[in-house]
Amino acid sequence: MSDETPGSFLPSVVLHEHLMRTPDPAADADALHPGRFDPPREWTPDLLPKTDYEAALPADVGLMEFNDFHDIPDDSLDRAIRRVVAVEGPVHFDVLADRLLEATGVGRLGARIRARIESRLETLTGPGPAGAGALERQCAFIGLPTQLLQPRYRDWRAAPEKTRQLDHVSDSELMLAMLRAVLDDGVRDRERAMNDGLHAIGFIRLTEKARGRLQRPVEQLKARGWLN
Amino acid sequence: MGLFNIGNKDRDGRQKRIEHRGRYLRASRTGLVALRAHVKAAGVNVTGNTRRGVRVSTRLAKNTQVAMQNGRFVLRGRYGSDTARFNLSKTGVTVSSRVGLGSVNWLRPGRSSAKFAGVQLRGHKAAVINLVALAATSVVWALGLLGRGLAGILQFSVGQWQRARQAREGIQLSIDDVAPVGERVLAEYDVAPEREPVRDLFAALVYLVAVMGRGDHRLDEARVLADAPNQPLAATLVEDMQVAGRSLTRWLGEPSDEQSPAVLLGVLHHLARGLADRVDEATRAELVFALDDACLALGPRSILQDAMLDVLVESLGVELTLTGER
Repeated sequence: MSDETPGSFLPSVVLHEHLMRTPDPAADADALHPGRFDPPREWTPDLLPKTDYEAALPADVGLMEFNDFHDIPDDSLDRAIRRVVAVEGPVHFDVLADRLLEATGVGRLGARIRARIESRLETLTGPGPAGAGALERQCAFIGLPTQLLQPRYRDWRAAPEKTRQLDHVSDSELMLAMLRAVLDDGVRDRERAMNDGLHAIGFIRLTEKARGRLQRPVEQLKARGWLN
Repeated sequence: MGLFNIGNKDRDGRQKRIEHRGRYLRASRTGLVALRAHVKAAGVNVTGNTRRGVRVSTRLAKNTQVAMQNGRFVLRGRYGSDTARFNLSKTGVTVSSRVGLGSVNWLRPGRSSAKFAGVQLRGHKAAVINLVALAATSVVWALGLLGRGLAGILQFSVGQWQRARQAREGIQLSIDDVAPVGERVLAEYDVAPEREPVRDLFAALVYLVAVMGRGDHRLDEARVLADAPNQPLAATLVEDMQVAGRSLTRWLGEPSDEQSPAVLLGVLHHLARGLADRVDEATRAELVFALDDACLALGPRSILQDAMLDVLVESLGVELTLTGER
């Protein structure tokens, strides 16, 4: 420590980021920052370490007792949808349907089953009775409000092969992947963020199709000033 | 090898004796030119020299030689180290040491030797030269020692003076003095630092030392962002500091001349303790340096900031070792 050294806030910024990236399980009070643990109201990056993608197991979905999909009562199907979303949200409609079909032993997603699931999702995501509107839907993705605004940083290499498609990753999760690449590389370059961001979550090649998929998340990051 | 050894150095880095020494020919200032030949048979060395005659010698023991040279019996031995070398001859034993520019024989100074610029000297003249060189070396060494001693005394005195000045100007409050004051404030607002998120504890510490430590309550947001232009999360620290600053201002009141430093230092101590227990040793050390840098970001440290850093070092359990200190 020396009075001659010109000071700077840079070491504080770097250390603050390091502390944000470190799990803090003992933290449950918000006297210093009231509302710290309130659900996010806008897209918020998750800075905790990356975790493996976790898929909902058929036994956990709770539909094994039904032999025909159409025999499943609404409340059982709602409960099963909530379980899948809790584990995998934000989850793509196709992935959600896969988990439900796998749990009941049905091989193909037909029009009637699709319509039934869509109908239940409409109820679960719409303004209904108490508790019924806890889920949210953004285009093809369903999740809890927190999952959509602050998705987990997941490694999709651990996802089942059929699930592991870039189209199954939500915009908010793609935004997170690219922002984490920016933070790790220390460079706000758009091309590098796309390449490294995709690679970090398990998608190896930045193809033209992938570029197209990333267009909207990139624009949203640019609008927030995270990317150049 | 240079002509007559000129430019060649001995093991002490000095000019070697100026002479020519070939297989059969030796030429030097005092020995002039001599032809030599040497054979060894049955453990006996026979040496012929055009200026010295014939010598027949053998090794009696380690470092001991007996010889016959032109009808004279020769006995010589050299034992010991450079510091005290024992020399054996027919007439007895003498003691010599390597000092100054050569070797001084303490019992028979006339057998001393010295070498200066490659010229070998022997006898009393060599003893005098060695003693003069020894005296000169001693004077230089003593002056060096005196200089180092004076520098040490001066450094110690300046250190004492600075410590005394800091003690006069500083805030004389120990952790024991400030901890109960801080505890009362935090208890009044039901704050448990050990349960606050570490990112908020750190933001609060930065606000305390960098802003409140200067008697201010407004954060220079632009300055923080300017210091970290390539850090996407700099704005997050600013936001965390602003929110923590509002909480701290509510608990401590706005800074004023009447405000006791014990309150600020006490709260600082407890927030730092809440953080220290949840991060590793390296991070605790980085915390101190980062907060010191934040203090200096807006100018030289104030007396309150000096006291805050002293409290932080102790509260965070960081051991600072100055460069060169063991």
